[in-house]
Amino acid sequence: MTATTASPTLTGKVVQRKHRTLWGDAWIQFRRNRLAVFGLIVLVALILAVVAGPYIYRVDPKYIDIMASGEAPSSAHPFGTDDLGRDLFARNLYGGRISLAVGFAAMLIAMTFGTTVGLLSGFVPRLDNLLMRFTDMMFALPQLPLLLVISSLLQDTLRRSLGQELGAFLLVVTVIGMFGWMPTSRIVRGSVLSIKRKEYVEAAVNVGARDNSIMMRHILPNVFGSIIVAATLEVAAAILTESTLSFLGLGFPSDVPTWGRLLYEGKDFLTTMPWISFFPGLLISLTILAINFMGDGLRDALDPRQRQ
Amino acid sequence: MGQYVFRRVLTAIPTLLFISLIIFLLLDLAPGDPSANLPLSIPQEVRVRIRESLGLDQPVHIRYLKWMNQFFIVEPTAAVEKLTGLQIGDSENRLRIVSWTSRGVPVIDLILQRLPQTLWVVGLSYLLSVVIAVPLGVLGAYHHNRLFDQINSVISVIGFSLPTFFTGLLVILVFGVWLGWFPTIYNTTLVVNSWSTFAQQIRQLVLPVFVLTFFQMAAINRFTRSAALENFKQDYVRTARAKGLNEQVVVMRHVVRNSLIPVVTLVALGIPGIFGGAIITEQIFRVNGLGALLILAIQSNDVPVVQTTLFIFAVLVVFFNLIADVLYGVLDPRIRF
Repeated sequence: MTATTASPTLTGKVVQRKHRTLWGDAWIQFRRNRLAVFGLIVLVALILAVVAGPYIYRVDPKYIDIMASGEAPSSAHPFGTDDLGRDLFARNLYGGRISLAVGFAAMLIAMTFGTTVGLLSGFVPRLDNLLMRFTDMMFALPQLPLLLVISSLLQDTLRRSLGQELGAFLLVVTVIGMFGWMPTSRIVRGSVLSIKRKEYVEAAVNVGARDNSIMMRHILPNVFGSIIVAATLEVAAAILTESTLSFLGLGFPSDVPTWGRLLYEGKDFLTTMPWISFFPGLLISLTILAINFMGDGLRDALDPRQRQ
Repeated sequence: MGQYVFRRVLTAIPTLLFISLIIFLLLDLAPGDPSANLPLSIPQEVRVRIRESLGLDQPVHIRYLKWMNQFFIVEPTAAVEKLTGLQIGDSENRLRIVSWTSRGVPVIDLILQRLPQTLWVVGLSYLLSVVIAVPLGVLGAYHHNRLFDQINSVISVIGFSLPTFFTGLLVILVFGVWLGWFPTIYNTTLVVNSWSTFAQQIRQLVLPVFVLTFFQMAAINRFTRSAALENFKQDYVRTARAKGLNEQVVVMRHVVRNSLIPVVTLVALGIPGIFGGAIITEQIFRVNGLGALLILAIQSNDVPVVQTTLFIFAVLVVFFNLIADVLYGVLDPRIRF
């Protein structure tokens, strides 16, 4: 059987129907969810702002102008200035780059690891028990306290060997990623186990397809929907974790202004200069909110079984 | 059932051992030396003696076993002695886990000092969030896709998207600084012995409890809603309605009771998480609790305190996972072991 996009009608005329794909359907479904579309627009706008912003708003985020310290938001400084007179709009734009980069990088690590573990334990029965026990144990670790301890223990060494910014970035991303893969591996394993018994996989086995190609061709594409949903939510979780670490003074060093770090620096000036903390807090919340709305929409669109 | 609980407890033991090993090795192998912060004027041989007295010259596995012995045998015996007043063995020379910074104070005593504050704030907010969120979730499912449900869903997504350190600072700014209604710092030394101090205690609890409740409510609310939605679709609900039962009975007896099964598990699973999550709230409102102790210990490199607090957090996670599993079996008759 070949897929046909045209079907003959009674009059013999051929009616062209629009080709429908899985992703096309998902997009139609996604568009119906107004909040999800709102989330997508906000997220794209935020990404554009932090990527292109520093090229348009050309103010040095590290320039100290002590004469202009503690100024409230105005046309000259849209987000105001901090206690040292640094322009907060520039700092927020620059910090957003790092915060978003941390979110996406940590998500990539978590997804790669989680998907690998999930695929292996779903596909190789010998490994299943071992890997799932390992996942359970990782779930049983007290995440936030351990994250705090690990980053405080390793930050000095890594910063010394890799430099302030890169060292902190790698540490934060790896640590968040290592604690974020477990839900994905469970979801992937579950999907693999149910897909493995489908007829088309049986057919593939019968025509002599190798394990590798069955895994890559027939199973992975079908789990992709759930992986994308998990990935979206993981980005939000990673951004939240990074800002929590920075807020407790254990993430990035003081000269790297991530959103969480800016919030942390502003909390001591809350009564006199509330704008220092307010804007980064607002940006973190907006980003996470946008991603979560989007995640809900994606879940409905890509993973109908989990529809809420 | 009994057999299942027994087996489940048995599987918790390797998990705990694994976690204790990770915590121990993490702090042990990490760079950093407890004698590094000592003054430079201390001569080298004294430094070596200090390291010996801390037992740092022994191989890793010996130290791990000694730590395990302290944690699982020495400390519990000391606790029993303290509670009952009995004397078991040589209690004078027992080697307790002692904090490195607050000289000679056993870590457990430090933790017991801090626990009440954490329990007040965290416990109260968790209780409140369950009490508020479960009815909201059921109502949301009942009015599925109508205005109430939509508002409720949006608010719960907002609830778990706003980080507590942001909402915390916001409420401090608005209610503490601008309006001046509530104190922004939690006074741990307050002794409740009269109505006025009780009122003070309530007033200082309002902001931290509000922040935590708003955050925790969101997840429970969403979860209850989806569990109830599932149940509203079931045949037995239609049957109940067809029989002419009034709506209240249908909702309370047939839907809510069934939807609560997964919710109870979620609530149990969430309990250890709230101790961790409270770390942030404790920092913002300066609550002198368990989370604050952990942060302080991390900053001052107090390894015994960090190890013990971490391990207690881990024990809580494992314990409540166990509780959740067992509760699930007790509540849901479809689950057979």
